Amino acid sequence: MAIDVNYLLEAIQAATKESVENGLLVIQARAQQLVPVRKLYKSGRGKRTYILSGPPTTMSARQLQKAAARHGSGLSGVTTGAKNMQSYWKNRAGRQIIPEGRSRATVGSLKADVLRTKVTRGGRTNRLERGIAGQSIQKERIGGTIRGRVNSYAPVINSPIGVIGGEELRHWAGKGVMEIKVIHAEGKSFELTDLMTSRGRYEMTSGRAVRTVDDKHGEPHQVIGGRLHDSIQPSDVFSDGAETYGFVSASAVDPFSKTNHDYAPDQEFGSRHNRAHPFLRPALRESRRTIMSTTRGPIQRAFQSGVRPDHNSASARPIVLEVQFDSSGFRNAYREVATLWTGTAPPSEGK
Amino acid sequence: MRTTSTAIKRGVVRHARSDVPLKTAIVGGIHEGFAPEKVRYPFMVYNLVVAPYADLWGSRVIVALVDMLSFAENGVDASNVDQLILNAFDGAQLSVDGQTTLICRRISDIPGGPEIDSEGKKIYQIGGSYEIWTDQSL
Repeated sequence: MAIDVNYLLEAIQAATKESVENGLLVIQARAQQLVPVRKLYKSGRGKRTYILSGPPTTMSARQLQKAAARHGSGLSGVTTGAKNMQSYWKNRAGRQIIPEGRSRATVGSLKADVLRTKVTRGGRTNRLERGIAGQSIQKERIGGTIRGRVNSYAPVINSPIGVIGGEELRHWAGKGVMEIKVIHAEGKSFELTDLMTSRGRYEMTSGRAVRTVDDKHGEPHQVIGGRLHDSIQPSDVFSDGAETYGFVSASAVDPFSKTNHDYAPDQEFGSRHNRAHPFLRPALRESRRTIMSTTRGPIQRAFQSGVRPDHNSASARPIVLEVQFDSSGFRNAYREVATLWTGTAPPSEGK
Repeated sequence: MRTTSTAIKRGVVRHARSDVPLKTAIVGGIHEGFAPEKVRYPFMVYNLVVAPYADLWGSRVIVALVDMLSFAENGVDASNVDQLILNAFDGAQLSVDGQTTLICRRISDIPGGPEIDSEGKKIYQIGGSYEIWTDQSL
């Protein structure tokens, strides 16, 4: 049987690289689910809140907050503008929006209509949920500002800063939002801090949790919180001899710390002041089985696209896939190694 | 009776208490996750990081990852306690309710720099991660 070894090795290397890239993304996604989220808002845990930053990013957090309220730009799912504004968000999985009820609430010194909604997984089997969603959206529509159907994938809101919809709205609401609050402020604005916990107010006024990030269009946005969450990133994939590896890292330096203290290891391993909330290592271990199963496929396909070798041939050798778990300055270098056979079975099972 | 990772944590504490040199050295005792403010140094903290299950034919393997850290007012004491923890746990046969310990070994160090506690004292935190494999019948 003729074997084009070079072709085969190139195909396997490409497949290996792809597998490691996919594996790193799996770890990243799981780590971002597990990472602790500081509760900045009185609303549900895990909510990611964005300020739309019309004003310059050099403004202080408090100035920014007031400017955001004045200009009618807002937070995810929260209106602060002079006009009525409702927002809701769904992802492509077809989640439904289920209003939980409407109540009169006092936000700071202002009275506001608060509509609590919950976004759950879609499904046509639950007739009750579908009914509530359909009726309530119609019923709670204020000023005809929502356009689009209830189960539309492209909700559009008409806000004081213009029409927002589609991807922009999804970005605005944030990916992790599972609960959205809609507030009708009766023509008046109120301060963001009224919606925050005491911890959130401290983070806001000190500016510690306020940071600037670029969206996918390169536009800078002021964001509150999520520094550690967003720092969890996969590296490039490297090759060194027979090894192909990459790593997922996390790093979050307090901008006001004089010692450039990185609190990612504090979360991972604990400190004298706080207990540990591990997120990287559990993500790696919980993802291991998924990574192994997704890794075998591309490599075996690469093999099958070429000539299937005998196990005694030179190309039937182990490939070491190493998912390295490290970052610069991280106190615990952690490595997991997965060894795969490039053939369809280990040599002991071959001829 | 099937047991969970709680039995592993219990086994860890039981083993640490049964090791006389270690128990004598950790004046402040053994704490899960976090020690209160007024605890005396040195003391030991353990934390279960993750414990995924793997069901095989007829048995269940739990691979638990446990961080064990020593806290002391100077680096030497912290290192000494860490060494005692290593002596006690690396290769040990833990007694885990309802499970058989297959492996208990240290897989990584967790070196930590000194930090300041609530009373302004410099505190050293040194330890390691231990992997504990247990098996139980299904």
